[in-house]
Amino acid sequence: MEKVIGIDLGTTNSCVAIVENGTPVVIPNRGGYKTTPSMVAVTEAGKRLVGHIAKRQAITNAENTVYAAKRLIGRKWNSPQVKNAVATSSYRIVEGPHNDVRIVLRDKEFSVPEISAMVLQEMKVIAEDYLGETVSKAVVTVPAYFNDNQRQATKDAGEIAGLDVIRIINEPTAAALSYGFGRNIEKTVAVYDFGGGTFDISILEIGAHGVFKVIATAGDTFLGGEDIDARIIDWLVSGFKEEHSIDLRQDRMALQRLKDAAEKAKCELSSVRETEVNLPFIISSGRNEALHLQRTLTRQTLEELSDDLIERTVDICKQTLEDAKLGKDEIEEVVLVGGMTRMPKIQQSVQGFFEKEPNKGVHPDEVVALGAAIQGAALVDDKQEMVLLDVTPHALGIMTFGSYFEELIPQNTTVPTHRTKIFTTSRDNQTAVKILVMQGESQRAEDNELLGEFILTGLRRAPKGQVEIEVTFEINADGIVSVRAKDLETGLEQSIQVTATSGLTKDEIKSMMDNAKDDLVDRRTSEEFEAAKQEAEKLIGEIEKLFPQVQQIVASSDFGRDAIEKAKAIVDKARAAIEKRDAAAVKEQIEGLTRTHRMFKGVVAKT
Amino acid sequence: MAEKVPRLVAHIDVRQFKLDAMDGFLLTRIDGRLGKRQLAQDTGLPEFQVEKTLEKLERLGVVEIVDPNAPAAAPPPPAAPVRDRTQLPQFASIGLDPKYDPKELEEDVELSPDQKKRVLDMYYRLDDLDHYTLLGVGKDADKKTVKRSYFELASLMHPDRYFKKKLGSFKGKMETLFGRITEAHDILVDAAKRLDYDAYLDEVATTKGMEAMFERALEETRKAAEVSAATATAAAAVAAPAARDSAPGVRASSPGPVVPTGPSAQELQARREALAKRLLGGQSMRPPTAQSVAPPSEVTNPLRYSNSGDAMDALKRRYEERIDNATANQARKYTKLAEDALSKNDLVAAASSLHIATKFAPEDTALAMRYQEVKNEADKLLCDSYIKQATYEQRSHHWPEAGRTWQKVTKIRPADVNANAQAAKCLLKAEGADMHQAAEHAKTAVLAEPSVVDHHVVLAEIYARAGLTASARRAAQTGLTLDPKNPVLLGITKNSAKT
Repeated sequence: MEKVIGIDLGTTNSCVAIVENGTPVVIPNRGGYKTTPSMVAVTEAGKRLVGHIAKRQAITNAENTVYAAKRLIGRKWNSPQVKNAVATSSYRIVEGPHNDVRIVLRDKEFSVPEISAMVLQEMKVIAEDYLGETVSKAVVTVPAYFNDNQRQATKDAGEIAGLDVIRIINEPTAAALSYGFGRNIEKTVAVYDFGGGTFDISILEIGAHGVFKVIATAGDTFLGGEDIDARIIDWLVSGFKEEHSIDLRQDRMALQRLKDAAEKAKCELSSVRETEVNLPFIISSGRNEALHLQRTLTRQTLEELSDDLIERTVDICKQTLEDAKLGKDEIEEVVLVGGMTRMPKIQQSVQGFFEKEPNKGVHPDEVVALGAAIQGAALVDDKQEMVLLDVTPHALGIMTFGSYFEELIPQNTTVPTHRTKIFTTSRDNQTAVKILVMQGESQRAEDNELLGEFILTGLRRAPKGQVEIEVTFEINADGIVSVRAKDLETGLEQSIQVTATSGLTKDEIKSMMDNAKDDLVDRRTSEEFEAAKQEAEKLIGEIEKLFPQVQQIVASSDFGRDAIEKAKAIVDKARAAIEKRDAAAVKEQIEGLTRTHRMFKGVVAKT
Repeated sequence: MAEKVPRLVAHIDVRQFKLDAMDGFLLTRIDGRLGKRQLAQDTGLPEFQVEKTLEKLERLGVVEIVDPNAPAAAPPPPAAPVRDRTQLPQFASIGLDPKYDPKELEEDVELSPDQKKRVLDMYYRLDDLDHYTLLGVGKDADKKTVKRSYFELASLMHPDRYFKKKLGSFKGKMETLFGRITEAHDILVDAAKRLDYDAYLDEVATTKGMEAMFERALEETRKAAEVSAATATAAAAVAAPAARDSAPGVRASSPGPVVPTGPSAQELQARREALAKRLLGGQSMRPPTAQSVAPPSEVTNPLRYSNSGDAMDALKRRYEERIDNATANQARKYTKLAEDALSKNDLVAAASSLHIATKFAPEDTALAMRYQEVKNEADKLLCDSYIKQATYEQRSHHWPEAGRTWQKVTKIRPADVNANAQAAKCLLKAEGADMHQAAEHAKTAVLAEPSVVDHHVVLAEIYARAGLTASARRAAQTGLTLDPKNPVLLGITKNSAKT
């Protein structure tokens, strides 16, 4: 049976897990960390860096280091969220060819799925190193509130990374799977997931036979730890401006340092009451004099800075409970997920709202990846008795006359499902209707996300309202939406399978996939080369150390001189191979070098 | 030991079972005392029919066959008698004949034979299953029970359980089943939705019960006629003991109660001959030429024996008296039943009882009037119920069902213009509906209210959909005389002119 990995592709950190012998485990990366920063950078030499290395060089290479790419995935260029990101990011964001978003790194444009693919590829490699075999299937998590375009873009990212994403599941759902897996409980659970970039709340019912039924889910894809960091940055920047009349935002490197410091301070304040933000030489003044930033941030100030954000999460919880038609007392367990839930104020707020102490038994950074791995195993392994009954996080419908959104499948409907409604023509003698398939909660069609469109033609010429068209929406277990429109009079039918757009065409994905593969080959060889080079250089060093001695001993014999010449030639060849960065050639020379080294050592030992 | 008798299983809601009118009728007569044969007599049903029905009821767990002297049923169990969960997966196939083509089981898919059977069984029964039966829970099941059953079924039907498996035609069926059980669950765990649904189910049950009752009434009316005939023959048969007074020592063969399937014609003939012989002092009453068996119609005509004189006249009188008494008794019995039902406000039962009573006493005009009165009330009740049902169905866009329900209203009130118009409209929208029936309803509406353009429009549209272009054009033209600018009618005229 093929192994399926579970990947939590987070805004700030990512995590990979797998089910081994029935137990889900998180796979640590080579540095021994269980999470890997979702950061990607391109160095001056054009080298791609992912994860911790990318994070470490972020300050010195701020313009070419991407963080929080998840906030941009599947979004349109003209969306307010993108506009906001353009203004606040230290890397350059430009408009792509399909009203999508591209990121410029060292003069090269990357699509957002490509950036995410680099992170996914890193997670794939971490798993492969651990398992000692190739991995090609994955379950990837997304925020519950992601729309279909964002989900599709995430799937595309997987494809670019060489992963068959067999299922996309929601982060809070994954957390619940991990919480309830193998515990044989019957409970109604609320999962409060406050991560780096998004906030989600899901209410689930865990029942017998390993059934997990999502009852309701809601959230905000632009509300996360990053927003709290931004508040701290604002506070630091405005303080600095008052003092020195200098706007630190104008300096991308200063901004990156502020970001790091803000995040660090925020994390520290979860355990201490106050912390010092100390950034020496943050910027040069007009008189070329170095300025330092030094301020004390208290937990109370942080709470004041972020109280409206926390309040918003509680408000969403309230709304979701109402949607689920459940009272607070019917929630039997509250599970906290995401790094932000370490913040004492958030824990208090959640406890205050649900009137229940949250469960702290799960690891907020790892639980999502574990859940994804569990779902992956459940899908491919017949022995796993577990079924996830998920819901559509957004309503699906069509645009009707007057630009109204007519809902067919309401929010929080368990999938697979299908719904039918009858519509009529809106103009006299209308012979065709355009079906605009949309997703969202607003009654105004333009506020919702357009997923696809098609035209039903050949209608009878009749006054408006006379021709009836039956529209059927269907969502299958894989989350694929198909829409059918039928002229009830003639029986004529048109349908489409809605493939959400990530902003990339199939061809683009293909070529990005090839590039990513090339890059992987590149990286793998370079690792191989580095290893050979080290070994060769070590041997060369030892041989060269022995040269004077050996020369002295064998100088009298022709054979000895010959041997010395030969040894020199081998060393030269090895050096040349290293120079050319040719891993295979270096490896070839290692044999000769080893032989020479052994011979030299023998000669020296005999005397 | 006494003959075993059927008894209703205690604390059971028979509505959760899929029963037909015959079952329902028999159920009303099962009292835990009557045996099979007595039931057959009481209901007038052939014994084999009673036997078959009882077998089915026993299999379903509605009745149990017990010793009549055995103690009464055990006290009610403390909790609602919800079906044992472990039996759930089989529930859809309880002793009923499979509704699917066994060939479908042979499809080469990666599913166990059990799962295949389960899917097919449930899939093809979906139309007959309400939300409770679908989930295999009782009507009083609490949220938790509903959820448990749902989870169990969901874990069997969710396509993810068979991820990337070859499922063929089963995939779609399982998705449909999953959708339906989810709908059932979502409604039953939501108090408001469940209330609404229960109200709907009640309407369906009432109308179904009423339908069964009407069917029963019809059946009993037919039987009443039979019974009068049988009473006639029986009366003739028991006339023998009456004659016994003058001829002691001769005993009638069977003093038993009136049996619908009475003695055969030949037997009767023989008996009568024997009787006549005795009365006539050993002379054969028959002319020697009439040796062959006479046709039954003649045999049952007692007037044929007028040549047997006074004795025969007496016999005839007694016989007629007996029939009168029997029918009068029957009429009284059913009138009494009707009054009982009325006192319990059961209009429909009252109406059907009165209906039967009128058949026994056709001359009783007061009874006939009473029947009409009660029937009107009952019809009104039934119609109201149908209308409520149809409205619910219309609201949830279940056009074929709504059409059928409106049609039921028109059966009771053939001249109801609104019901006819609605039936036509719904049938027009329903996929695969019979356009001829729809047209009949539309025509009725048009005839009743010729000046309503809308009726003409619907009729024309129905004709158009049925492909009857000429009729469509004619209907449209008639409509256009009322509203020359009606766009739909103009459209239909134009379209039909083209073809």
